[in-house]
Amino acid sequence: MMNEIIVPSSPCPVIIGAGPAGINAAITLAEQGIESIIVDENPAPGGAIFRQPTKKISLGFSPVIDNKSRQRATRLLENLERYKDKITVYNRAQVLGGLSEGDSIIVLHNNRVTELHYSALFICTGCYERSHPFPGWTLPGVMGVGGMQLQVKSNLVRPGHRVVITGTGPLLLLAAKQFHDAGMEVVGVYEAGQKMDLYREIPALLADIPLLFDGIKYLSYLKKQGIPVHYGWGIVGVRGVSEVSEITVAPYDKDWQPLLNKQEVINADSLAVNYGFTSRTQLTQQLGCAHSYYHDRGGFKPDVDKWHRTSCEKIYAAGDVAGIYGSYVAEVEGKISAYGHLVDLGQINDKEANLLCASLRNNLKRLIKFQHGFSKLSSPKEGLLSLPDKNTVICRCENVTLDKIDNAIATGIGDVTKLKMATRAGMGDCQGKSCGDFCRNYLAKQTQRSQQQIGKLNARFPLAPVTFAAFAAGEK
Amino acid sequence: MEKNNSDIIIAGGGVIGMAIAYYLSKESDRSITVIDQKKPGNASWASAGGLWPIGESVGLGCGVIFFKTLSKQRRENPNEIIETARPHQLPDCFLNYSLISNAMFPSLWDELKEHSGIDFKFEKTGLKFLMYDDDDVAYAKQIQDGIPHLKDQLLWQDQQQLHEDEPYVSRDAIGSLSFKPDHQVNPYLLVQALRDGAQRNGVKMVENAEIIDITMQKNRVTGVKTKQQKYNCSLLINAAGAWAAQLADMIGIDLPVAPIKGQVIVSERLPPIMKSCISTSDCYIAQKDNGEVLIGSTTEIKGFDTNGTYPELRSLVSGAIKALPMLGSVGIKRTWVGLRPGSPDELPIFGEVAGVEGYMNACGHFRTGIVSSPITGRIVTDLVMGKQPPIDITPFLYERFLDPSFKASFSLETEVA
Repeated sequence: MMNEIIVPSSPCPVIIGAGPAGINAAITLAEQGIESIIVDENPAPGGAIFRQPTKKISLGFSPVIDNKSRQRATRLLENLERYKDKITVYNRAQVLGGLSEGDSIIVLHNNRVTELHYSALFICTGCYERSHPFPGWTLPGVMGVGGMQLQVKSNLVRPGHRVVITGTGPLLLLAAKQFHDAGMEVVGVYEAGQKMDLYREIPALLADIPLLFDGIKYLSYLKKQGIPVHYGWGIVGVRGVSEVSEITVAPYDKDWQPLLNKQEVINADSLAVNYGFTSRTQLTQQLGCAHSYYHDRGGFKPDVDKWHRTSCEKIYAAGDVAGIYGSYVAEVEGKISAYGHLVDLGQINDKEANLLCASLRNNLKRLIKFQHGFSKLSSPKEGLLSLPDKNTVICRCENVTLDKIDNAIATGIGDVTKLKMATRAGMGDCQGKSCGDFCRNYLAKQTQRSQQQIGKLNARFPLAPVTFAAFAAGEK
Repeated sequence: MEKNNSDIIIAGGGVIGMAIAYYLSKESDRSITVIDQKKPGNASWASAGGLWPIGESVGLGCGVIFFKTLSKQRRENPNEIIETARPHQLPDCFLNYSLISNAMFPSLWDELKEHSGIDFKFEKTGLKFLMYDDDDVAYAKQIQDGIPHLKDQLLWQDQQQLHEDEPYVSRDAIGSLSFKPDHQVNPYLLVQALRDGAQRNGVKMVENAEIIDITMQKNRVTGVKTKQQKYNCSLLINAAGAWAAQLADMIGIDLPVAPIKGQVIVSERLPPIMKSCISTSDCYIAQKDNGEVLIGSTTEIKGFDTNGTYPELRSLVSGAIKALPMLGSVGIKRTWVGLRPGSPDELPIFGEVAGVEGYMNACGHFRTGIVSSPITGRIVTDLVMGKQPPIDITPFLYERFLDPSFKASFSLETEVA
């Protein structure tokens, strides 16, 4: 690992994010002889999907990354290793954002700030779990499904003994298997979507038989282990003194409004919850790329053309940041964006690029069709917005409760930036990563306005915390 | 297009527009509509919230930082003529105007707390100018000598007194000059409280609506058009901040208001580390009610550009560490850019414009929109009601720019590197 960022004598392509999209972009460039730099905030490359254990201690259970994922990870990282003379990876390096008029980003690495100029910028920052507030959601023991997976597979920590899984999408099934493998008791999986919605999409799911087969495999595994999967059920709230002790679930109607007269209370010490993901667009926003809103695919995402060029010159976006379709799609998009850059450099022409990408694009079509199979099942519905009560904390950073947001809306506030100014929701360190989606959707619902009218919270420099001293130390 | 009639339309829902709406709606029964469009760089949302009537009048705050930039430029380019070579002390009419406005805050604070329940966090802090060397001492003496009539409002402190007052201030500071009446507020809450008060008085808010045209009958303004609707009125008040010139241009008025870029940094929340606001020749520093420490600000002429820049932010950060070394280990939480509505003599522009009926200016507030919002509300209310404003507004009329002897202290055209 490099201790200090070495600024190349002339700018090269810089790739933000060492997940499937970023690594594939770098490898595709390297295959054409182009050197690049990858900047990633994690201790090792692979992204959230291929996160490896960060410590070598045994807790009596094996890391639960499945065989197929392990093979994919190994292949990806071996490929990266093969091109190590062309690809420089900086781990534990955070992008603070873009400043100045020039084509550069500011990177924090080993408590030093470096301005890194780029010839092209590939933003492959992926996505994060969307928070949906409900009573008790800030209690210790409540985690995102993905967050709990990372605890298990990366930190080798078992976050609880009795876990309830609520949310939507195929991730819940995989997580149930992983948690069970790690020795946790999985009380049940509560999928918000209706089973019928899944059945209706079987034609779409047939687009990728191996992936469909994976799903069936997880389902039959859970059945064999006696872990029930309840369709059309979801979270109502959580109670506990200093940590989770009671989890209330209920059947959801078609708008995901819980039917409280049928609610059930489960005794458990942990809750994994995931009602979808949000594209990690702070950097594309901060750099001024144009964005549009997609309800089913992670909210606002940067507009990209078929070569994954954003509206900003020299800036590409690939993978979940440009629409959430998962790691298989991210791999392909990473490659396509690199070919797009080769076209822009004039190294290949459009025709050659189309030929090189023909099979990639076919693959992409199939994968996206498969992902759309879950659209009806998993598209977040308005009922979730009714879960928090007036005392539920919505913005954790600034401790803003729902009644403060309601009061502000009552004064006629109609966009999310003014809501932030009035309540401080979204003004904290996380810049609204946690509460921004809820605030936007809630404001849209209460004021009957469109997402474009509500707007989004502007991401500001720095996108990650940096001390005054580290920032000033970059002084020349 | 749907028709909307009101007597008065205020263009701009920042602190100036909302102060006018609040004061006017308290005294007048005419119908008032405020039309606002959120834009990147809206100054009221970017402001530090300093109420520094003396400090700003004598060229502290952003003034001294700008002065230093110009001095440096002068040193580096000795052949270039840069007119503003000394800190420009603003005329007495401005000092008087901002002191009267500043004195309105305690009662406005009580009034709005009661009226709307919103506390805009008026804090009596004072403002300290820190001195590191003999140049700074000479600069402070010059300030002191310039305002002999306010001598009892100033406090000169030596190093020991300063450190008893402000233990976190660097030992490199050899003393300070304090301005007792210079305080601070939370600017967002001030706008919100004024807005809430105005709405309770019946003012109608139209948000996310950009005025794209002004309708006229002969030389009389009859209303405005937004992309969505048409609004009729008999009086249009231009409180459009940095965008005031664009609005005036729709009816052929050449208003010399231009955006003046200022970059700002805010820290993570801290326990109280300073009692007063601080101004040095590098930056100003204010700890806000929620514990965040706010550092400003550059003065740049870059059009409507709201991008942060590395060298400028770094220089503010270094200046802040120089004044308060403990900030070194503190996290920078956010940076942003505001666009001040600058005028060539740094004075606001009030009142009607000869030859145009049904139009009134309330713009060009430059660095001091927050502190001068109450008096602006008062002045405009009096003008609309046909009463005598509390101060003589002759120096603030648009007509001054038409006078051949008008002298700008600040060129809106020059690019400041």
